[in-house]
Formats: sequence, structure tokens, C-alpha cells
Amino acid sequence: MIALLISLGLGWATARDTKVEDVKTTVFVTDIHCESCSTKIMNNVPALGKGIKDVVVSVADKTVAVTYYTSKNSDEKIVKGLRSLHVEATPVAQCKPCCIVPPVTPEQAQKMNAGPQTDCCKDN
Amino acid sequence: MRCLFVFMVVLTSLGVCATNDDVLSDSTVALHEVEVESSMSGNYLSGSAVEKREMINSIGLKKMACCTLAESFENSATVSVGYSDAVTGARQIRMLGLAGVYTQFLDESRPTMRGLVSPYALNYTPGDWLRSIQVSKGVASVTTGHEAITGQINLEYRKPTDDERLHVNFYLDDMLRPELNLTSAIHFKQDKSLSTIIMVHGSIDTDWREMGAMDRNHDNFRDLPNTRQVDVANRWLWLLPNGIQLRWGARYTAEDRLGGQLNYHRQSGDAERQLFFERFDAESGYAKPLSVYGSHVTNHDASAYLKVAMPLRHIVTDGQGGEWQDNVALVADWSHFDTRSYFGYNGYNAHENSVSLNLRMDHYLAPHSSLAVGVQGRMNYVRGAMLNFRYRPIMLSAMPNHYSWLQTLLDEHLDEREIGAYAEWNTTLRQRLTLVAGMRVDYNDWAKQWLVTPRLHVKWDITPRTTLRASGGMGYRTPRAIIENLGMLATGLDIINATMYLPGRALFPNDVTDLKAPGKRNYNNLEKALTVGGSLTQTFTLGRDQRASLSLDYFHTHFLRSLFVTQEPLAGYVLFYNSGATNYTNTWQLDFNWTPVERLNVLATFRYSQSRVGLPMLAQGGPEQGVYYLLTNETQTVERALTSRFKGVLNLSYATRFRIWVFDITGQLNGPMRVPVAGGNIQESYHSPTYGQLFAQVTRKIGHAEVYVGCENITDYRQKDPILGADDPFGPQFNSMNVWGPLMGRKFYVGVRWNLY
Repeated sequence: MIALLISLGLGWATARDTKVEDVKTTVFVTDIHCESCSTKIMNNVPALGKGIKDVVVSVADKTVAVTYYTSKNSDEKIVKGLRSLHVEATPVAQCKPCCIVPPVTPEQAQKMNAGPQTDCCKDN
Repeated sequence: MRCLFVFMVVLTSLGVCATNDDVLSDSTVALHEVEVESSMSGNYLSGSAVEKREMINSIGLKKMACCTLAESFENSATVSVGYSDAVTGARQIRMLGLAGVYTQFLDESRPTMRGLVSPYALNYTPGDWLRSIQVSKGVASVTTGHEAITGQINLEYRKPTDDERLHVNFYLDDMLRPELNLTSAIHFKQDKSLSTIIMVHGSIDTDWREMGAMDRNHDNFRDLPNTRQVDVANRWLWLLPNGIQLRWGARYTAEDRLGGQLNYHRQSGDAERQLFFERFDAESGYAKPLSVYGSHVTNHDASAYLKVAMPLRHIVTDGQGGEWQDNVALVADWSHFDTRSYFGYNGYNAHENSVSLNLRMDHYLAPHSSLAVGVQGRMNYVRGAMLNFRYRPIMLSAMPNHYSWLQTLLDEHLDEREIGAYAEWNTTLRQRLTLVAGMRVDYNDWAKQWLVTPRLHVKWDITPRTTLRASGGMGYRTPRAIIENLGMLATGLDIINATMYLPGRALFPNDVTDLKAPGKRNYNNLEKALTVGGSLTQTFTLGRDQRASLSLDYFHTHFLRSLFVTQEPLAGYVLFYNSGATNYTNTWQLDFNWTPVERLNVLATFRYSQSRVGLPMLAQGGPEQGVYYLLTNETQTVERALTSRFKGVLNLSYATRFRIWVFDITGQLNGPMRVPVAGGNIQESYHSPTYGQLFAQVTRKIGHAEVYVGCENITDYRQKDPILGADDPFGPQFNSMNVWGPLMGRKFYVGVRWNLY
């Protein structure tokens, strides 16, 4: 009985971790510049691929925040999907902090997905 | 960046960058605020427009297949769509209980779809080319002319600045009729300051299914004509660095429409009819009569436009960042329409050329007060001829195979020139009360009349959620008796131009061969009407929706002079004549819009119309002079024929997140209409039944594409006998004008839309 309870507990904990890992939110820095760009993205969410949970577009910040299931999609696929809508996008963690609007500290950038950093300034 | 151009705009197009200060506007319609398109409601009432205005945005246009502009109004009770007759299949609308000819159509604020093209124009605007439609009731702004009597419908097309480099819409229905729409926006500069859009539409009836499928009521006539159509349009936009905006474009439509009996074919039918008239001998009256009844209509429509807008130096500011700049605009339009048509023996050929110029200046007196002044000129030239030919056998023992023929030939010759000036003052007081007062004066040299057109609109925001609107004004239009009543040629009735006959003069229906009209038509009287009305709109919280709305409106249109076309006073004849007799409508409408849960929208609307006309009484002469009739001053007021008393629409629309799945269902309830009888006895007319229709559609987004599947007229309700006397189509009882219900039954369709960015 105790072994069964321990197993159930471990299984529940594992499932929680899995559930958290399954969903990811990535903020992309884009070249969008007006409301019609935002409307275009929101009208074509399926173009970003499968497993999309939420999309939030900020024209003022030129960002697109995408929440998705990692088992069904990836940052690369979403970038490709945005490119098919004529929107160039780069995950914010890959941008130099000074280029990001609003600016983030290096510590905040490190907390996001680590990876090679791109000079996004030329795209803004 | 400074806002370079501030027109009075209706901004519902999705293709316009509203956040940039260089506002790009294709429209010049009186409004004060930018419209914010609801993310859910496809059909909604405008909160900021000074007129009672119903908006149909891209979501609303996608609720049904919306192959043409006509289908776009199936969710609206404001606009009812029907058929002019059962042979040509031409769609026509009704607004405020009156025919669609009293509604002014605008192509991004430029008057369009008028003159000879008006009976067919609804079919020449593919629904897929449109971004949105604004339907305004009552008289409209004087800046667009004097013709809007019942209302105005403004069409917003896809823009050169759209993001879709290629858009494809393919449609197929269960009659195996394919339609293809292609649009392509091309930007020559990265900031889209030089852009163009090309739009192409093609459709064809294949007749691949058995003949029986095209004749479900088994009267041996096609339920709808076999139609082939091609439309091409090209629009340009050029924003110059100095602030000048140039817009120009052109379009062309070619249509071929074959109707009539099932075994009537294009080439053989044309050849047989031509042979008949070549061999027809006016003296002996002999030629082999036509064996099959057929109708063939061939139309060509071309138009072009140029709009130039330039900012002026004068600017007013409100001290809070708002700026309004004076501007001047020039709009030039040209159009050409050619129609060749026949209906059995009857025929109508005509062409029209029109040119118009509008020069307008907007001057801002204060931040919320402006004055628009302008001059406008127009030239219309129409040349046409109508043949009303009745060929009936009279068997005489001494002369077997002798036929008696009756022929009426009406020449149509219209040289119309008009010049006018207008001024419109637009002001908002304390952000609560908006007044739009306009005056227009035109001189029409065809009617030899001065037209004075005063119009007033008032909008009072009693509370932030309660709006009262009122409007009133005059309207005038040049009637086109033949083309606007083309269905009368698809009958066996004799057509009499009674405008030549003043009351007291005799009509000689038995000797109609003498009724050859003079070189010019004599109905040189413009139609003149007064329309007044108002509405009350209340926005309130209902459940989770804080923006539910309820609106009630009433409009009254009273004609001071109009052209009557009626088959009722004299048995066997269609009369058209000018008259100041009774002619009015009263219309009440209730609209309800509610979003009970997220992404579920409920739209309910109900319209009731009371429409009356005064038909002339005829006095009959004595036998010693032959039977003749006198058109008297006496009239009897009757319910206007073929106008539904009421119409109700209920639309439910639900979309999943990001509109991956969209479900639309629409129910219509159509009230009875008085159906005229051509027997001359109005007491014998009857009312059509009340009937319902159901439409449904499911849409699914897949990647860059959208697939839609739907069904129109799910209950398969049809008017069983739209054609009277179908067993003797060349006889006097043949009549296809009395259409009150659907001609086609249930129709399934499937389609796909795909975008490349």
C-alpha cells in the first residue's frame, strides 16, 4: 500500500513536470509596423503550425508572444510560419539586449532560452 | 509623423494601416471617427456614423458563399434580395419597401451601378473582391449626388496596399457550377506608396447535370439561366512625397446569359430568331414562327476612374494632439455599358456612355466643424431600341397559315447633361450632438429642371449608450423604364408607353401598331421623393456582454412624382407613365446584437413595411368607336405589388479560438407579398404565403487556407409556378414577372480560400 502511494506520488509529480515542460512561451522580435500586420498574424494562426495555445501581438513593442506545446511545435517552425506571412521574427533571447524594445537586462535575457545572440537592431 | 490627409472616412478595410499618421483613405464619406471593426460581429450597427448604418465586414461576408454582391445581403433584413423575373435571373434588391433603383450604390464613395447596368450590377460585383459593405438608410450626403432616396450602399474593395500577394477562392456547387476568384496585390515600393491590385473572376454554368436538375418544377423552363461571366479589375495607388494621393483603376465585365426552355441553345436559337425576322414580311406577315422560347442576354460593361487628392496649408488643432487639414480632391469617372438581349420575339438593344467629374474641397472651421463644398458635372448618352412583338395565328379559311402580328417599337434616345454645386456643413457640439446639413442645386438639361436637394442628418448621443438619429431630405433620379423593368419583355403582354397620354386622351389597345413613339421618349420627368426617418439605438449589458445593442428605426418615403410601370390596370398590357399619384412606404425595423459567450454572436432583425401606390382608373369608351380606354385622373390606392410585408433574420455565429472552426447558421422568415394578376381586376390579386429559409456553413482553417462547406435553402423551399402560361410561351398569358420566392431549391456548395503573403 505504501509502495503504491509512493508510486502514485512520483507519477503525479512527474506528470506535473511534464505538463509544465510541454507548454512554452516564446517572445519573438519582429518587423511588424501596423495593425494590419497584427490582423494578418491573428487571422492566420494555423500558419504557425500545430499546438498553438495563445498568440499575443504587440505592434508598439513589435513583438509576437507565442505559447505552444513543445511536443508539437518549435521556435524554428514558428519563425518559418511567420516568414510565410512575410513577418521576419527572431526569438527575443537571441537578440542583443540593447535592441529589444522594451529593453531587458542581460540577466533576464539569460533566463530565457539560451542560444546564440543575433543583432536584431538592423531589423528594427 | 504628421497626419497628411484627413478625409471624412469610413475605415473598415483591413488593408489600411491605421496606426501610421499617413492615413490612406479610399473613401470620402461623412464620418467623424475611425471605425473599429469588431473582432466577432460580421454584421453590426455603426456607433459613430451619423446615419443609421449597418456594417458588413469581412467576417460577415464569409458567413455565406457570397459569390456575388447579392448573396452578401442574405443576413440583412434592411436589404431584401429577389429576382426581377424568372427568365433572365437578374437579381434585384429592395430597401425600405422600394426597388433597388432608389438605392444609390457607391464604389468607395463614387456613384456606380446606375443607368442601364443597374438590373445586372449586383451580379457583376464578386463578393470575394469586397472587404466590407456599409448600408445606410434614408437620404445620404449631398456630396455624392441627389439620387439616394431610400439609402446608400458603399462598397469597399480589396486595396492595393493589402498584404496578400495572391489570394485564390475556388467555389463549386451541386449544380457543378465552378467559380474562381484571383486577386494579387503588388507593392512596387517597400512603404507601399506605389501599389496595385489585380482582381479576376470567372464563372460558368456547365449543365453537366441532367436537364431535369435545371427544371425542378417541370415547366420545361430553366429554373435559372445558363450564365458565363468574366470580370477583371485593376486598381492603383500612388502616394507622392509632397502629400498628393493618386488613385486610378479600371474594370471590365463580359456576361452571356441563356434562359428559356430547356431545349433552347445559344447558336441555334440565335440563328432561328434571326432567320425569322429576315424572312418576316411586313405585308403578308408570314414567316415560320419560332419553335422554342428562348432568352439570350449579352452584356459588356467597362469603367475607369481617377482620384487626385491634395492637402492644403490650413490646419486646425485641438491642443491635444489632434489635427485636421484642409484638402481638395478631384474625382473623374467614365463608364460604358452595352446590352443585347431578346426574350422570345421581344428584344432590347442599348448602349450607354457616361462621364462625370466631381471637384470637392474640405475646409475645417474648427476641430469638430468642417465645410465641404464642390461642383459636379455629369453627361449620359443612351441609345437603345425596344421591340415588343406579338405573333399570333388567326386562322382564316381563305388564307390558311395567316398570322396577325402586333409590333411596338420604342426608340430610346437620352442625352442627359447635369451640372451642380453643393455645400455641406458638418459639426459636433460638446461631443454629443452631430449635425450634417447639406444643400445641393443641379440643373438637368434633359428634364429642363432645376433640382434643389436639401438634406439634414442629426445624431444625438443622449447618454454614452443611447443614440438618437434623425434624417430628412429630397432625392431625384432619372427613370429608365425599360431596363429597370426588363422582366416585362419576358411576358406575352403588350407594352404601352402611356407617358404620351395625358388623362382624358384615349389609348387604343386594339390598334397598337399606330403606337410608335416619337424619336425621343416623352417621360422627361425626373422621379422626385422626400424621405424622413429616425432611429434609437441602445447599448446595454446583457450577461457577460457589455456591448449588446437594440435598435429601432422608422423611415417614410413619399414620392412627389414617379414613373409607374404596372400590368394591373389594363388586362393584357403593361403600362408605364409618369404620375404624381399616391406612392409611399413606411418601414419599421428592429435590430438586436448580442454576444452571450466569447466568440458566439447572435444577430436578430425584423423589418415591417407598409407600401402603397395609386393605380390609375381607366374609363372604357363606347363600341361605335372601337373599344378604347381613357387614362383618368382617378386612382385606387392598393398595396404595392411584389413587396414583402415583413422579413425576419436570425443569425447565429460561433468561432473557436483563432477562428480555426467557424459555424454559421441563418434563418429567414419572409412575409407575404401581393401578387398582381394581369387580368385588370385588382380584386383578383392574391398574397403569396409566408415562408422560411435556412442557410448554414462550416469553415475550417488549415495553414494558409480556409475550406468552407455549406448549404443554402436547406428546407428546399421554392416558388412552384414562377412562370405563368409556360405551356404557351408565345401566347398572351405567358408571364414570368410574378416572382415572389426562391427559384432555386436546396443548394450544397464547397469552396477553398488560400492566401500567399
